[in-house]
Amino acid sequence: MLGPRVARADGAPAADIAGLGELTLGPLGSVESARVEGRSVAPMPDAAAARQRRRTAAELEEAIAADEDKADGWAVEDMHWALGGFYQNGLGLQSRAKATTFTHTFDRTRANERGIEEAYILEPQLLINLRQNKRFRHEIYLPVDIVSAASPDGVDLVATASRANESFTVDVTSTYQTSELLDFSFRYGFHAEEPLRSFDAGPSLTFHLAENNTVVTLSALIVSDGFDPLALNGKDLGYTSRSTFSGNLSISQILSPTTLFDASIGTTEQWGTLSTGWNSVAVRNPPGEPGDLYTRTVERFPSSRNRDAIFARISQHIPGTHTTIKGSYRFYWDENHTTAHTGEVQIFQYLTPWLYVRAHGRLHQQKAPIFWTTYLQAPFKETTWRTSDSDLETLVSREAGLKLVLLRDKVGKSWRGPDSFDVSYLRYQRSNSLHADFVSLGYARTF
Amino acid sequence: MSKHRSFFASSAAKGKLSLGPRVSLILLALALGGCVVVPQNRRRYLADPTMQTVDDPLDSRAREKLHTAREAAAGGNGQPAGGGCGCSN
Repeated sequence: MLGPRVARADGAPAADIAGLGELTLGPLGSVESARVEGRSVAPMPDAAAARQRRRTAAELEEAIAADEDKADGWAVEDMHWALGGFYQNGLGLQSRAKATTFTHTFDRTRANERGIEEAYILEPQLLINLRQNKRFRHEIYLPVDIVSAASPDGVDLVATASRANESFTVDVTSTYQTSELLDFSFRYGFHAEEPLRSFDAGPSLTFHLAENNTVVTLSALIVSDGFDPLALNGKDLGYTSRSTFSGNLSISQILSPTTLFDASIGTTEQWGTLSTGWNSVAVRNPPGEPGDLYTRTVERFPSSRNRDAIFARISQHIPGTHTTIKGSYRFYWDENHTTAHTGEVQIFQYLTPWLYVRAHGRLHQQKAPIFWTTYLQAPFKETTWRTSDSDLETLVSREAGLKLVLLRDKVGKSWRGPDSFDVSYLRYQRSNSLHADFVSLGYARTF
Repeated sequence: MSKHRSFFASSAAKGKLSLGPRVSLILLALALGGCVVVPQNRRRYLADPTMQTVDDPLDSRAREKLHTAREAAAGGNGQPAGGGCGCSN
């Protein structure tokens, strides 16, 4: 979602163009109304002051013209890089792992107990913003996931996906600025992992209204997933697919020089094979019958689903203490009677002009779909919808994290540079016995 | 099994709006209530990195992925719902 543009249209910061100090452009970026801030200017006679103003304006106009000339042609505008590492542990019903080392056998009399969901995930990410010309820009996002034990369960024990998996995504958004008021974007991408391939594409329109005080974005996205379902014995059953259409409306509104409000509302329609293709559900056989007390069957979902969400956030900057506070709320509901409430608070505090810390807390509560179960009682109809995926269970999750960001463009001249560094840690804890720790290192550079 | 409950579905027969449109109208009213035009030369604090809607695009995407893969509430936000180990969520 795009926020109101508070920098220049070409993305360059409004401050310190051509080294003239803290410059702020006037309405619509007019040079005539530009003024110099943050300097103590000695009183001058009116004529001298007028000459100074003219010279400053002329210098600024020249700097902007030179900057616009540079803006034509291919160039990398900025680049973000991050390396994240997850460690996850806990218990899940879809997992049959009884120990940290995987085994190809499990105790069938205890097959509805939760198994271990320990996993390590390494996540390098790269984001590049490319400028093709003054009006055409491309955002290229390249994440890679290297996962141990992506989805360990009784079925998956025979697929290599359970023990190690790698995924790769290319996600590109090309944006054409048709006018000061309207941007047209097109998003397209590809995602691959064992045993899934996915394509997505969709347009969006962004309207910049009331001198960019209000930004409205209307977007649509179609995703096509293709994957191989697995039989209980691990046999690859071929190929199946699902399709997803998402429509979204978002708005960003400046409420005051220190307050920003943004909200979005969206709907997603999915159809096709909505189950994972590798999760299983325990089946409890009638007591007294010969054989295992518990067996397993594949999960089964409805063939279509509508899911909707609404999100709102208020951001407030407090100049006196150099603090920013953001509060957000999201409500989700779908036609399988799953509902979720998510609230989050973020506090940003500048420790020095070039170093700030972000602390955040998040609380999420969800209600499981109506067909979620710990086990099925035999006999049951094969067409019965069912899942034991612990990610879909009724649960509460809590998350807290800290992030430290160093902005080198604001440090003293001896170490000043066009880049920034960050380091972050978060702890995620679910009420149904799962927790994750996430550490990340980040680097960003403007060219 | 479950009755289809589209976001835009309303209880028209009862003359009532369903939850989605009701919340949307409240948020729209809140947003429109604040429709004052703040000129660009007074947006210094809004330009601060901490005031951006996404303060760090990679951090934001990594966290979104963490939640999408471990919770049931993906979708409805203009992002792909489906794909990857969180595809049933």
